[in-house]
Amino acid sequence: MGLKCLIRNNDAVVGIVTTVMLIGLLVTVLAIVNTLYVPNWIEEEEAKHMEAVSNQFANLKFALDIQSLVDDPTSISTSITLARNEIPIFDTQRSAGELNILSNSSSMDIKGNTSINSKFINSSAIIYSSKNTYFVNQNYVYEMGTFILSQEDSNVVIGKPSIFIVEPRYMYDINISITVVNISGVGSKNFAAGFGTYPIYTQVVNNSNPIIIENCSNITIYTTYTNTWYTVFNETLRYYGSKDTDYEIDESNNMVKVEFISPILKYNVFVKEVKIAAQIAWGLVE
Amino acid sequence: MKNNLKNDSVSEILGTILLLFISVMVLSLIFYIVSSDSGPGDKTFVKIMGKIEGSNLILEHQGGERIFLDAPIDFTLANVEYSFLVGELLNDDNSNNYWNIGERLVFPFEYDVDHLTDYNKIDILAVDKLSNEAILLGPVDLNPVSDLGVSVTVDNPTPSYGDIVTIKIEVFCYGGDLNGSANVHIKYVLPAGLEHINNNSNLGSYDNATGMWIIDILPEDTPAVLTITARVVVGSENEFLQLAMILDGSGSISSSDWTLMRSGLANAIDDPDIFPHGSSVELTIIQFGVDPYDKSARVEMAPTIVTESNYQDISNIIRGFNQGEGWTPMAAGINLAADTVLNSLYFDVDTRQVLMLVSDGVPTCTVSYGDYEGYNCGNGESNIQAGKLSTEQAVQYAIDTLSLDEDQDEFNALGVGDYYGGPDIEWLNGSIVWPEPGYIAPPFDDGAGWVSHVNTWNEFALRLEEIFHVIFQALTSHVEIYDTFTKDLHSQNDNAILVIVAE
Repeated sequence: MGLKCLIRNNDAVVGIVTTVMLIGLLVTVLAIVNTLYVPNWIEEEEAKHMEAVSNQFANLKFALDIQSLVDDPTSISTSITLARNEIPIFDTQRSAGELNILSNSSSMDIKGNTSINSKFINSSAIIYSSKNTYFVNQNYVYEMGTFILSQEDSNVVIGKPSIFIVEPRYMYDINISITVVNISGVGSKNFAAGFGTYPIYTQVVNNSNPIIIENCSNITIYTTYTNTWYTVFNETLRYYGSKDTDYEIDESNNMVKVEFISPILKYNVFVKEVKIAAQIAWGLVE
Repeated sequence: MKNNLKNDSVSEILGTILLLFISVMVLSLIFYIVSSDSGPGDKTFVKIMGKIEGSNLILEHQGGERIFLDAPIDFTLANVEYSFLVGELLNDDNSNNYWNIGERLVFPFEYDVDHLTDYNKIDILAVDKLSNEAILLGPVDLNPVSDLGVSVTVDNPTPSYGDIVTIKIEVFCYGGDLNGSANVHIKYVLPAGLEHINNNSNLGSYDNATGMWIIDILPEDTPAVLTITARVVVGSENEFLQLAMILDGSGSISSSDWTLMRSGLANAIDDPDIFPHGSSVELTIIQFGVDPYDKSARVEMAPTIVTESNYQDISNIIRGFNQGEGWTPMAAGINLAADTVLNSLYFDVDTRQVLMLVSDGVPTCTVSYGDYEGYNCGNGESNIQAGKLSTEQAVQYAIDTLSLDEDQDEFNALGVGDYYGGPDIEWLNGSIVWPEPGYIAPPFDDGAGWVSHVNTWNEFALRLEEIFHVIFQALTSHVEIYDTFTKDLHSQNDNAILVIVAE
């Protein structure tokens, strides 16, 4: 065949053009799925995963509450899943998470009317931090018996600590019962990051009898999650009938201070400290 | 031949162009459809919690995505719909123009006391404008709080048989979330010994057969008053009861005072106007502070039913009681009394049991749970503290052993004198007498569970006479706020007791 004949030959024109356009169509479809659908799918998966972590932390609090009640050295494992499920084929941005037992991250200082009549407790916190791609990043925190959700620049209480008032307000003595679950990390197993599911292994080290801080003047919580602790004390005191004139709560940078100012009521604090060792138990437990 | 070839070529070119045109058109249409797809609709993942505080509905953002201030939110309360935008009700603490985690939206409302039963719940519908999804849909229960209180008085607390008395019950609403309450049910049943004549009330109606007084609407500023007129008739004094006297025989009581105690008790039993002789009382007497080792308890009189034929024998036996003169193992006496009453032939949990402690001091011995002999006796502070703890445990032992019922049974105390500081009345009142809370008597106007105190043993007989009157002849009745539409967090004033001692 000569060159002229080859140029004048039209046999393959339609097939080539159609193929090119089909490929273009496929690429367009993929691009649209990737840009419009996949972010939605990922966001939905991330939201579901956050809900799953919330449930897992609720189980963690339940386990620690039970351990603090029964005073038994039996260990309990509770699992936390660090990352969401993968989306097949399209998932190019796998989000991960971090689990951390943060040492001495919070403390509670209960002061009576004398320096001897006081109690200071320093505690670690168990923190899950998400690394989401589309859904808002959240931190789930277990701190001194409280289950906290932190997001953006604020935080809320999800699970209340064991703080309640034994006697109602009409009695002039008001007895506040506080159980502080004092978490401490074990060895070097305090951190995990990535995609898997990790067990947190908890064991009661010491479950002391309550000590009484009579005529308590103030309780100070040193914490990152001030909004949560403000809510815990304010709601508890109000629920049991204390008035604005009975107490003041000062919420400032990394600190919440509850001051008992009533000239009539005497606030006695029965504080029980339960020391629990925790480790992120990948591999052998220490 | 040349012409045929030319036509074929034209046909192929036209066919190719036609196919190209069709392909381009079809694929362009598909492109258009695909490229105009805006993807899946946005979803809003957020948690909102609702609760009622007073007359405010509080909705708190509990994590998830932020909500725009122009999102509509509707409330339906008492069949009325209220529509707002989130921004109109939000406390935007960080002023970022979004409803974020921890921020609260407050919907204030007011109760209409006249239509209070419509105020059961608030239905909420909130829609996120971005996703056009309902982010909150459902009801929040209201459970309004209002403090109610009840009191009861009688025009003559010590009537004679046959007299007519007027009982006045007042119910107050002290307010709370709203200025009133609704569907208030007050229960008051006349005791045996009072015969209903008539009643009237300014609010609601009282049914004497059921003892239920129902008030549809109770405003805050108007107390509801029910007056019941009744005749005192022979009634409860014939009800069978088991009485256990737990007497202190410790060495701190002089022999002359011991004689005053014995004679006071014996004389009371001799007098049929004070102590019934009609087989309606089974009497048990325990003394503590006796041998062995001066720190035990013993049965002075086994359970005996007092009758016309034996009351003099009983009083004579009492006059002959020997004093132990030992320590004060109070708990041993209580434990022994509980077991002795339990082992009586006539013990029945449905029978009324009255335990009465008589002492001139504080416990000085520790006693094991349920035991009759003390140890660790002494007058030191530690001995007394341990003794008090034992005594508190002994009261619980009695309650458990006899299955005491606070609606019919009682544990009372009579403290005498002030030797070595005398009995610890505050402790007896706060930790020993039962049902709790106790009260100091006289007056014996708050039912069972009292502490009485006289300064000398010379006053013992007279006070004992008064006490026996109350135990055997009191017509005790209870009035209680049984049910209301509103919640009452201060339940301490929801009950009142009326004691009428028929002469």
